[in-house]
Amino acid sequence: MAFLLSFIDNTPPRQTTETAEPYLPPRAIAGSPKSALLVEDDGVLSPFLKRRLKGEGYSVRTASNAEEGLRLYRDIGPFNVVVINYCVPRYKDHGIDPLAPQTNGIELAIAIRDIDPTQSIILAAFAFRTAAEVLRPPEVMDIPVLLDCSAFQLRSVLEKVEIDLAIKTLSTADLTRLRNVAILLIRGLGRAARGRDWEDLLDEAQCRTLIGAGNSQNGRHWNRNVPFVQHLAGAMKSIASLWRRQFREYEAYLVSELTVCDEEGQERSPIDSIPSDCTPADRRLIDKSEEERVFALFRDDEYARCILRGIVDGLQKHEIKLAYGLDEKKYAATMRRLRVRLMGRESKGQEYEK
Amino acid sequence: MRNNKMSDERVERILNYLADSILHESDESTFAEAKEMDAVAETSAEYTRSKLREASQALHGINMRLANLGHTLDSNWQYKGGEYQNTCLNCGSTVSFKRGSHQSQGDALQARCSPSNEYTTSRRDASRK
Repeated sequence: MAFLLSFIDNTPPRQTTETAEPYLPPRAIAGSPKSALLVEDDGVLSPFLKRRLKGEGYSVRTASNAEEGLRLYRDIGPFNVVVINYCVPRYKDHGIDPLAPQTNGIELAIAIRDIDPTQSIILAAFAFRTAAEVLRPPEVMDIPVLLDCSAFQLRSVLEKVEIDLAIKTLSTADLTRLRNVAILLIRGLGRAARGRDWEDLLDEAQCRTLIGAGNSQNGRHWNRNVPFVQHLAGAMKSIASLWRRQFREYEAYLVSELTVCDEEGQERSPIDSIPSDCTPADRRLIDKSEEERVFALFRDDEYARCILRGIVDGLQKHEIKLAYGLDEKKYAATMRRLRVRLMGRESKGQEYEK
Repeated sequence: MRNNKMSDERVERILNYLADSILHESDESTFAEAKEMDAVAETSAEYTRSKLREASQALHGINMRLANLGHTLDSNWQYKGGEYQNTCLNCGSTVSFKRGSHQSQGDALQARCSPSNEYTTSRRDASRK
């Protein structure tokens, strides 16, 4: 591909895929938190797309050819997103041959990726009907293609780009935190999880974030001022809460459906008439509340029970420490025991269900 | 039932408090906890990342597939019965998307939308204006 880049690539790349450096955050333009570079030659489309991008909260720099686009990128990149017209001319005042294969947009995308492999790029290919018709080499197949410039399509692609970037830049520690939060919440749901696991909870949170990109009523809009990890954790908490409520409603429905009135007008459940020498295990599980089981896990750990009582009473960290005489070290160690035990309780001998 | 509800709220409070505390732990402490749960941080982190990507790619794939067929959807996906549903603004055909399995189905995926799609501005149309 190097020969294709000869028209612009005279200076050594700042960063290559072989020597990956830590993620360099995009540079803000004119105080706007999000920046975009638009490489589009069409005199009508360029201002139109610029307006659309501004409408999505981006400050926009424009270039009308590939050479100018790369120069701008080298000077003031990286950007949150780079939008490149697939059929952009190579140089200023150079037209394109509509009958020849178009490579300038692709070459520019590759040159930018050589500078920063993490740069988010969108290819605008409005002359095509399907993404499959837009020929691309394998190394840029991951770049989303914009086939029309409707507000929804643009927003959808921009959201994907931003969320993909957020996922890409999550650290190992952040991903571990997300996993731990999901495991903790799903274990805490107990029967209310109804067979769903931590991956389902994380998947649901991610789906709602994507759905909420344009409509926070049906999804969960990600406010870019909030770190992505915090956003997903918040989404998982509210989904877990919803699942718990739904389970209660479902359980209440089942109880009401099962309960019948006998001849004397007494309400009875058909389960009561099943002869048994001992209380069935599932009945014991229903009777024993989730809360009791959480406390029972820590019956021999007085500090843990103190913290649990403090949380139940709605105390803050400093109030819990004060109320139960815990110093920072003791509080941190106990919190860790609480988390590890609750997260690992099923994997270690199913102790939670006993 | 009321006692159950109150108990639920208390358990929820405990879990939310502990979940928040996870977010405030240092990286070292987070890795140490993962190790205690027999998880290799790097491996499980990459697995988590792949799960997030899967959901993102699945939904984007559906949006692009629908766009290729000329459908115009807004972002008004409705969550009903364990799946997300949406309707083309022009032809009214529907599409649904299942959480978890990411399976999609519906009329909108079977046929092209009506050509009189006034919401779509193609490059040629825009250039003529």
